[in-house]
Amino acid sequence: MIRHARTAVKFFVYGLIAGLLFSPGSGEENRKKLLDWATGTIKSVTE
Amino acid sequence: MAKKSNGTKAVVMGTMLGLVAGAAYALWKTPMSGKELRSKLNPVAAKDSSEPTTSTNTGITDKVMGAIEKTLAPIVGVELGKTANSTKNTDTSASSTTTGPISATHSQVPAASNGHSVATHEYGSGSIRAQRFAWGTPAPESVAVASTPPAPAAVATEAPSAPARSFPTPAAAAPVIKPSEPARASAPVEPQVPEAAPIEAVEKIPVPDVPIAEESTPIIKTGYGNDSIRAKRFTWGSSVTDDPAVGSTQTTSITAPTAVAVAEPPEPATPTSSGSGMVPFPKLGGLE
Repeated sequence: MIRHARTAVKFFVYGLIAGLLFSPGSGEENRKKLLDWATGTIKSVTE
Repeated sequence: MAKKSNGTKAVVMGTMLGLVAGAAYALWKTPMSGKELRSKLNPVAAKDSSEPTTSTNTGITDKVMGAIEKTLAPIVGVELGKTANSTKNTDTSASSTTTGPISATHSQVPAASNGHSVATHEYGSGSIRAQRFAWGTPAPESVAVASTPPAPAAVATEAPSAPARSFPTPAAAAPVIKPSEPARASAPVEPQVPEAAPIEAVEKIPVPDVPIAEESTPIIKTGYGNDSIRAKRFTWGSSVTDDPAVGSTQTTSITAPTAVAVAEPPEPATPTSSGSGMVPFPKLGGLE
């Protein structure tokens, strides 16, 4: 169990670094884009 | 076996979840975009890609790499800012302060412990191996390196107690050996390579004499190639002539026991019994 947790934490850190280096924009921009995308899909689905 | 499969599955799941969670958190919380972050870490690459840099200070990577290079340079024996093949190294190697025990640009074979001096070799652009001979050019008289003017007399007089070991050379020049460093500093001398044998001109292959057949058939003395007998095409019924278009450098001569002229025109066609109209083969004397 602990071994699995270690691997998870290890790959969490890897993902964090990759996300920081290859992020398309800042955190705020990403959140705005995500929200816009989410609202657009919800509207299209409801319509 | 079941426990192992469950274990691998758990590991795979853990890695996937960890990656996804880390990426999501980074994208949610990152203060700047990935391009800006990379340009900040490596401003040189950003300048090459014409991207605007947020800060004028050098990147962290440059500072770290610079510190590592400075610490490792004396250990490795490399002069910072110079390459191994640069010509400046030959003049400043002795006075450089950053070189280590072994200089990558100017190495010297140490003297033997038994007291005999050892000929030193120059490495780099002035070495013997660096000499490049173009195929087809005549061999030089001496293969000595011409990077610095040799001073064999000066070296011999300045030699210390260690005896000089001369290499056999056909040339009358004195052996070039540097047993000590002071002599080297004044005028570095290169060991002379024995002279190469002069290239002799290739002689032409003599023309073999073709024996005359007993039947006294016309034999053409020719060489090989286009002049060979096979290359010659005889038209039956025509006289043998030397074809100048062949381009043979050797003279051709037709030897025959009888006085059969080469330039004789063919005899007029005599009426034969068959009446075919072909020109008969020239008559050869002595056969009738």
